[in-house]
Formats: sequence, structure tokens, C-alpha cells
Amino acid sequence: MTSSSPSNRVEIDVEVNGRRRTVAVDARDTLADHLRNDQKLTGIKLGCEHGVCGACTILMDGAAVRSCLTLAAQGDGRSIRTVEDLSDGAALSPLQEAFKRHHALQCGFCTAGFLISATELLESNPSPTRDEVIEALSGNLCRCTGYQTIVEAVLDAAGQIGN
Amino acid sequence: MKLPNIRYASPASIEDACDLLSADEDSKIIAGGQSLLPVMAMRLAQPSVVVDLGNVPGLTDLEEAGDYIRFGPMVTHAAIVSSPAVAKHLPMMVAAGRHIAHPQIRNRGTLGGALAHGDAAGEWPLVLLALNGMVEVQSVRGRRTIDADDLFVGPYMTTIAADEIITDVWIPSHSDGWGYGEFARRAGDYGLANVAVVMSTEGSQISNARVAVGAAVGKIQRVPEAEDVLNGSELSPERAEVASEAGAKSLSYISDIHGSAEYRQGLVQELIRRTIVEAGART
Amino acid sequence: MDNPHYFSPPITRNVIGKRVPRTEDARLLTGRGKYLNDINADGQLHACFVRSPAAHAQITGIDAAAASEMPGVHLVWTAADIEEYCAGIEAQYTAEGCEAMTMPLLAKDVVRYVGEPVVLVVAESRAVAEDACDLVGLELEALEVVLDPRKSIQGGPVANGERPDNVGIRGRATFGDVDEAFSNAEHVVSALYHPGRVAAAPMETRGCLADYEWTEDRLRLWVSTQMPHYVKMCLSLFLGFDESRSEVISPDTGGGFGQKAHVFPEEMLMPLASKHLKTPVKWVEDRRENLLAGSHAHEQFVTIQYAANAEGRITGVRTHALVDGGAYHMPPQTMAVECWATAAVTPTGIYDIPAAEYIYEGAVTNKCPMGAFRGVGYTAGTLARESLMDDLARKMKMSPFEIRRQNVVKEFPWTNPQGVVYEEGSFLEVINTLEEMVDYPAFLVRQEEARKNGKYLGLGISVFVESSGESTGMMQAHGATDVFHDTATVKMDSTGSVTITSGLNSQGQGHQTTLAQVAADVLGISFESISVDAGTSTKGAYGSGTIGSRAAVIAGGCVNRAAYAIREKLVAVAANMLESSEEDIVLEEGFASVIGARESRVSIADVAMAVYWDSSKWPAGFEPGLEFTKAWDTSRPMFSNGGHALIVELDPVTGFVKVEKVYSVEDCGVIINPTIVEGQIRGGVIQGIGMGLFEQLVYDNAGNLSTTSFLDYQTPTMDVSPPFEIRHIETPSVMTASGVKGMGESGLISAPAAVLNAVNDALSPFGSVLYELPATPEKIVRATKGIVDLQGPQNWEELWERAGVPALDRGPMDAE
Repeated sequence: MTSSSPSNRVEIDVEVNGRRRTVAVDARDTLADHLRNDQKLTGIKLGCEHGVCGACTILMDGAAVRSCLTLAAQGDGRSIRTVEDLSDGAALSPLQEAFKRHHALQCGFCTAGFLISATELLESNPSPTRDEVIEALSGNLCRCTGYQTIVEAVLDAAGQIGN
Repeated sequence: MKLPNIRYASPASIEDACDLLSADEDSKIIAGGQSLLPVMAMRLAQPSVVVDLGNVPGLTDLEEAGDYIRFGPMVTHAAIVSSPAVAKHLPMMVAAGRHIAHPQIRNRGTLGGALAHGDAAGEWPLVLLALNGMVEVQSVRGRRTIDADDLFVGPYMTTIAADEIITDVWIPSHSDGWGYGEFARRAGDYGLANVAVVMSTEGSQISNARVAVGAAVGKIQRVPEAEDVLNGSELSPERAEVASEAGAKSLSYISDIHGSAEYRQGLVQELIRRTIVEAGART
Repeated sequence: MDNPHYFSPPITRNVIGKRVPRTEDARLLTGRGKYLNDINADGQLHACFVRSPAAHAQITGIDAAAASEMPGVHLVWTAADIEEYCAGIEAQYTAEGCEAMTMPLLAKDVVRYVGEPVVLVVAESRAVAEDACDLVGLELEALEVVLDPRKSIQGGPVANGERPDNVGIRGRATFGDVDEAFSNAEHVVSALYHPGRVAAAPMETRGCLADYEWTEDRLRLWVSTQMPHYVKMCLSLFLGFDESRSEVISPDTGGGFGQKAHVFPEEMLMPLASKHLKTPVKWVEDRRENLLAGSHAHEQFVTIQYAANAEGRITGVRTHALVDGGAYHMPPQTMAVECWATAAVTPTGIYDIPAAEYIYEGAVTNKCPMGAFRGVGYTAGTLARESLMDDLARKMKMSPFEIRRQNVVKEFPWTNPQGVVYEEGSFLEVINTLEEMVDYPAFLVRQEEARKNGKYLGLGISVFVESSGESTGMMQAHGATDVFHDTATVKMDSTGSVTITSGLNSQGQGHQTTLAQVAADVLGISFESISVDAGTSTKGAYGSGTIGSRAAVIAGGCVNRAAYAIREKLVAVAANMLESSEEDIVLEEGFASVIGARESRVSIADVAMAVYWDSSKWPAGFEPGLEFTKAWDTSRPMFSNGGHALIVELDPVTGFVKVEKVYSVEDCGVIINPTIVEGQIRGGVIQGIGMGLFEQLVYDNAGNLSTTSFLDYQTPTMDVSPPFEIRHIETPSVMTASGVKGMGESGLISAPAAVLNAVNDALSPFGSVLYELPATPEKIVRATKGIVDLQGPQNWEELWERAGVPALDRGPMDAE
């Protein structure tokens, strides 16, 4: 929606995890804050609020983006998917299963961001090489795992390696 | 680090956007937001109004236009790096673009935003300067063109006025020699030194050499001392060494926790040398 | 010692040892984890702090008028407003020579480090609270800034008036004839090491949510912490909240690594604010605050000397550990957590050195206080010992493996010069295994070839012993008097399923899974029939903190005892039901059966049902009840051991170092869950690579922190993190359930030394040796030109004499 005069509140039309809504947001809200606080999607985490750690990563029109570096208002007209949308509600997705199998999470705080970044990768490149996995995921920080098991989980989910 | 109290506008046209900028000197354009939002989160910038170009149509063009490639300002880094037209006519941009941060940033960050931000460690400003591109800007006072040579004047400082908006970026198609390099410790880090070189050769005589440096220095700039050594002389590894030494000596460097001026000079000298060799190999 | 809680009933291993997938994961993978910031209380308000912009200054005025009047602001507090509630948190470690210091909740009269909280603002949202903080005016008059710990420890300008000589802790001790060893030595090597200042930087920052319900005088405090019971005790001791009406709740925690093993002023202020406002108040710090004011770690100046004979056999070691302690002790760990741990615990490392002498000092400076971070002082100690060992190897022209074999403890039990007993270990086997894993001869060939091509490879090893399973016994053996109190509650339902409540919570270590593995083996029931609450509320069992590589050991020990008490009840009733004697009853695979007559059996569920509901099945004098809470402690020190080897490639032009591969050997006794152990190894080693190459908190000459975002404080990313090859050795502990020993910190205890040794090995053609971490590209380029900035160890006699001078008396808290 366009609005030629500046305002503190903005009405946006946004689809989140398949559900379309019209909502009002504050001009100063980031998309991360809106999704977490207004839409109660707390799977998105805030690790730095300056776009480096990747814990807030979501899919916007299929592309992985930092929700802390997006204004809520910029979600207007977009289709957003968060980590909550990755399983079918009854079972873990193959990617999530692979993370569990490979111990690709410990504290879990960075995990949503990695799952989303990996989802974008696998949707555009179903058979990535190890280097391609690393290039796609190096923008996500983890402090617990040392990363090796995350790489292996993604390659496993892509059918590139065994368990 | 919550954003400061701002108002938001999303105009439907460039003209409306210009009006908004003109009406309030503390207003600022938001394009991809990947540079603006961190700065706002740290409260280093507190604009009164953020003017979003996201709903202005026609700003994401990427087309071959005669001897140039023309870009709209809102073309994303990701779109540039994956564009067949860019791969064909401006391969340096593909090489440089892959150094920009990470894929998630590249999905949102824009060419126009990066050029207007004028970060001395930015890839697109360096590429624009090396490839001798230009930008067209518009404000309530009309339109004008700014050549790359006249665009970058200091750290985060360009000659674009506060109320001007980039509407087009023109870069001449490049089929001659080119080289691009960065020294960075981790993927996507701001470079410790960035260098871009273009040149032509006839036989092995060099002409049209442009050597541009970023990151280690306070502003994106060309290195005439290096260019002068190259232009008119024979391409050789020794010539690359002489050019890089003369060029590196002529610059003044930033110094911070990631590297002192002395360290950066060493990097720049080596990187100029390597990039000249790379460019020469592509002529 | 014969207290019952030191005893570990026997346990067989069936589920222990298996790579059981974690039961925690499904929640966390689907975004259902509830971390502190995901939890909300109705009506909650939000806190933000005005933090000191100056490293050392007198507060001459605070103008909070504009902030107070801003719409949406509910509270603005300075030190004057809270004085009546609490002057501050006193901390004093029980090691000898630790001086008491008080950390104010809000700076009073003086600010002592950039980032120190000065004003608390509570508002309807964090954004508004931040806006209000921007409107607070602080009038400050600069005081002299004290930044160099090597100078401040000698006196001079005072960083914190409470410690007029800038001494936060000081002590020394000598064991064996050290002077004799050094005067008769054929070789003496010595060096000064400076591991840099680092941040634990968990992905989840600190935070808490306080909800005081005035109608019941009841406080609930959610806090992202490793020490929920300690926090609850502080609420009582410092703030007067009755423990029986307080509950500290641990949500899912996004990493702690020791930074969350403290109690912070912010965590004491939220309950006060909530009580005052009669609404819940939430504080979640941002990353900038976390880097500024979340405790700092690991920065010390360590002087170390070895006396060695002609064969390279070390006869004496001297260690001086000086920590750059910052402006206050960080409660409860204090500066001792670095310097005392470095000097006084494992001063001889893995080596059979008969004489050891040490000094520990903590210097007060105008920086963020020093706290715990994985490995604590063991990291700097291992760095010094293992790096100096490589210096000795170079001097003796022996390989790093040979020099260590020459000196390593070979027989157990072994008693170190302090009289501390190391019950078991595999030190020599680790050295040999590492040498085999890296294929040392092949590496040397590859290194030589590479050098001919202008490429510089380096191999660095670090072989460590780690005090793990930290306990009362460990403290007392090393001259401290801390007592740890930990319990677990195990309850079996009438249908045979089991609930465990542990007093130790988890920040990613998988206790929910591993404790169930232990209980499954004690009770002979399936893993799936056990549910674990890993310390989520102080209403449950008690804990003294998930720190010191202790949780699996201690919680496992408590669970073993409590489950064993249930086992005894089950066995008594089963024996009665099967008309057998108790000694012949076996609990296995969900059944109680008779040895030698396995068809004579009854399901454990039926036995449980009988305990609850069928007294006809009870033996005479039977007391029903299948719920027990038991404490456990190791009673004496416990040591795990292992080693790491790193291969690096160094680019002499840029100074960039690429870690090619890590080889790890870990001996933490019997392993409960190998997958979890391997995860801890990798995580810790990558943090060690961070500390070795990338991470540094940098203060400028005015005491401003330059590294206040992840752009400048650079933790390892996926692209610079190497692959691992890991081998396990299992030397069972004699004192724990099933032989389990602690681990978790070992990667960060050991890897920094391996990084430095690898870099120095790569630099050897240039003739330079580095002594500082991080080994930055610039330091490496300078080293290739023969320039090394940190020079020389300090004179031992001077250090020893200074350490004999008692610290000055305590000054007043608000003086400078």
C-alpha cells in the first residue's frame, strides 16, 4: 500500500505462514518485532538486532532475509514463512529430522535461522556441494555446535550423504 | 537496540518521493534497508521520516541499453549477481557482488542504496569507479548525472545531495581486462583492502588502466600513481610490482582495531599487484 | 569421607553409552522453544538502562526530568532511589587472599567502567524505554582512568576506592623445593603469555522477567541463568524476598558458557522494580549491552617458568597469573575464577613435576568485570604450560610429542605437589593417540614440501588435564571452602513411568536426555518411560550451578542415588511377589526377574502398582513411597583429560590463518551419550579457535570499548570452522555412577594453546614466536618480519615478594 504522507502507524497487508491478514504496525517496528510480538511467532529470535547473527532469518517471497533489518511496513504485500511453517504440524520435516539426527543443535537459539537459510538453499539448489552449503549458511552464527554437524545435516537432507 | 521513533511514507512515484525529501531535511530514503537499519538500530542516525521506495514502480529494471547496462536503483545485489546480462557484459560485478555480506543481505540490499551510502568498504562504489559508470539523480530541482569519478568524496560521503534520489545507474559494458579482489578473513566481512582494476592492451601495451581502491582507505578512490605506471607501458609482472608499490605509497590509510595503516598498506600493495596481473590475464 | 551423599551405588550400562537422539530437539526445531524473551506476563513493562559513557568519573548530576515526563515511562531510578533496598552485591571467593568487593546495583557517586548501569528506566515498551534513556542527562567529572593491570596491581591511581591498592585477590604458595629445582636446572625456559579479553557471547543475551504478586507477597523471576538457586538465595540475602515465596524459573536458555553463571545487578533490580510498580517488569539486553557489560573473560598475563634437566625432564614449575579483573568482582565467581584457577588448580598440568610454586593476583581496572567463561582460569594455565612446553621442545630439539612423553605422568593414582590425588587418567595414551591421528611423520614431510613452495603449515598440540565435576571435594582439596549443594528428585508413578527433577538446568548440554539414560539403567526401565525436568524451576530439586563441567556428573550422581532408593523399594516388593530373596532380583528391560529363573518375573509397572495400591504384596515392615530426593558430591577432586591437535596454514602476506583440521582425543571416563560429548568438544574447540585467532574485546586509551557489535567482535563463522576427527578413551572414574566424569569445557581449556602452538610452528622459518592471543593477521605479519610485541616474562623474585604483601584494608564503596 502506498502512502504519500508520513505517519507513525502503517496498515499492511501481509501473508504469514499461509494466512493473509491486514494489520496495523508502528513505523518503527521491525518485521522481527512485529512477527514475534504481534503475531506471536516467537520461533524468530533476536541475537544482535543489527543483521549479523542471522537468528531472525525468515523467508520473504521465498528469499531468506533478516527480519531485524526489515521494517514491518516493508512486509506489505509480501508472503512470509517462518520456522513454525516448516513442519506439517504432526511430524518434523526431513530437514528438521536431519538436524536432530546429526546433533546440529544444542541450545537451539540459532536453529530457526539456520533452518530457514537451509530451506532457501535446498529449494533453489536441491543438491548442493559442501562449499555451496557453507556459502549459503556462513551468514548464520552458532556458538554451540562448531558448525560441522549443521553442514552434515543439510547435506544429509539433500541426500548428499548418509546418516 | 530498538529503532528510534520515525514516521514512514511509501510514495507511489519518484516525484512524490522527492517531494517528501524536500519537505523535511531529516527524512531519508530506505531502499533495501541493510545499511540504514543497523545504523538506526545503533541510533547513529535518527531520521524523522523514512521514505520507502519499495512501492515506486519501474525501479528494478536491469537492461542492456546500447553500450551500457542500465540498472534501476532498487535492483538487489542478488539479482545482479545472478543476471545473465551482467555475467556477459559486466563480469566484474558478479565477482565483486559475491563478496557482499551474505546471501540473506544480498536478497534485500540494493545497488542504489549501496551507492548512495558510499561506504568506503562497499563493493558497488568500487566497481562503479573502476568501470567508469555514472548515476542519474532526481530531486524537486530536476535531474542531473554524476560520473563515478565525481561521486565519492569521503567515508560515507557522496556528492549526492540529501534531497536527491538515484533513479538510474549506467555502467558501460566491459569486454576488456578486469580484476577484482578483497582481503577479508571471513566470508562476507568488510574487506581489509579492496581493489578493482580495468585495462586494455594492444599487443602487450597497456592503455585505459583504471585502478581503484577501497576499504583500507577513507574513501573510494582511483590510484593515479599506479595508473600512470601502467598506461603506455608493457604488461609484465615487474610492471605490476612497480605500479603497486608506487600506488600503495601514494595513499593514506585508515587505522582501526582490524588493522593499522601500516598493515593495510602492505595488503593494498599486494592486492593491487595481484589484481593488475589478473586484469592483464583477461585482456 | 563417609557422608552418605558421597557414595555412588553401582549401575550397569545399557542405555548409558548409547547415541540416544535428544528428546529436547523436536520442540526447539519447530520454533516452540520458549526462551526468556518469548515469555510474557500480563501487563508487563520493559526496562532499559542508561549506562556509563565514561570509564571512570564522578557523577556530579543526573537529570532525569525529561525522561520521567515522557509518555509511557513508569519509573526512573538512580542509586539514591534504591539505597534503602540494597547497597549492592558483595562478592568474595573463599580462596585465600580474595578481598571483598561490592558491586552496586546502580552506580553511586562514581562510574567505574564504560557500560556500568547508572539509571534504570521502565516504560511500556523497550523502544520507549530506550527513547527515555536518550533523554537522561549525566553530568560527569572525569577521574583518572586505570587500564593496565600490570601497572595497577603495583598501586598508583585507584580504579575502585573499595580496593585502595587495586588488589582484588592475591595469594601465593610453594610446594616441594622449587628454588633447588631452579638453581640446579640444566635448562630454564620462561615466558609471559597474554591471552586476550574475550566475551562468552552466547547467541541469547542476558535477561529476566520479574513478576511480584503483592496480594500473596510472592515473587516469580524468570531468568536466563546457569545458577537459578543461587539467584533465589540472593533475592533473599540482598533484597529480603522470602525464599519460600520466591520462585526462579529457567526458561530454555540460548547458551550460557559461564557468562550466565553470575548474578547481575539487572537481575536484582527487576524484582525491586516489579514490587515497587506492582506490575511485571522485563529486561532483555541487546547485543551492545552484552558486549559492554556482560562479564568479560580470560584476559590474563601469565608468567611461567620450567626448570629442566639435561634430558628435558622438568623438575620445577613457577606460575604467576595476573588477571585484568575489571572494576568489580563479578559475583559470585570473582576475579579468582581466572587467576586462582590458573595458578592453584593443576599447576603441573599432565606432567610429573615434583615441585610447583605459584602466585595469583587480580588487578582492579576501569573495565567491565571479569567473570566465568568456559574453562575459566584453566584456559590460561593450559595455554602457558602447553606453549612453554613447545618452547622447551624447540630448545631441546625434540618433537612436541617427545617432550611431553618425557614429562608426562605415567602411573595412577598420582599425587601432585599440592597433595591432590589424580585417581585415574590416560595422559600418555592421549599423546600417543594424537601423534598417530595426525600422522606426524607424514605431516613433517608435507610441511617441508609446502615451505619450498612458499606455504607455511603448522602443527600445534595441547594436552590437558581438566578439573571436572566441580564439587565441594574439589574446592576443599585446593584450599577453598565453597560447599556445593545439589539434589535430584526421582519419582515413579503407579503405572511405572518416572519423572526426574534435577537442580541443574541446561543451556544446550542435553541434560533432559542424559539424565534419563542414567535413570533407565538404574531402574531397568525404558528410556521412553522417563521424563526429565532439567532444573526449570527452583520449586524442584536444588542445584549449585551448571558450571565447571559438573552437571552430568553431579546431576547423574544425584539421580543415581535417588533412583537407587526407588530401586530398593521395587526390589523389596518384587522379591516378596516372586518369593525370592532381594539379592536374586534383577531389574531389566521393564521387568523384575529372578536370577537363574528368568521366567519367574513381574513387570516393574506391576510392582509399582503394588507399592501404591496393594499392601498384600508388601514385605513385613515395608514403607511405601517411590519418590526420593537425594544429594550427591564427588567428595574429592575429579579430573578428565584429553588433547587437541590443529593443523594450520598461514599466509605470510596477509597474516591470515586457516585451520585445516582438528584432531581431538577426550577421556571423560564412561560417556553417557557420545554424540552429546562430541558436540561439546567441537563447540568448545571452535570457541578456542575464536579466542586464538579472531575474538578480542578492545578498549581504547580512554577506556571506551571499541568492540560493541558483532561486526567488530568476530566469532568464528561456518566458513572458517574446520572439520574434526574425534577419538574417545574411557578411563572410568572410581567415584561416580558408572564411571562417568565431567567434560564440556575441555575444548576451550585446551584449544587456544593448540592454536598458538600451530601458529608458532608455522612461523618457525621466520624465527619468531608469538605469546599473545588472538594471533591476529597483523601480529603474524609483523612476526614474519621479526617483530613481536609482547616481550619477556617478569622477574620471579619481584613477583614473589610483591605477592607476600597483604592487600590494603577495604575502602568505602563510594570513594575514589
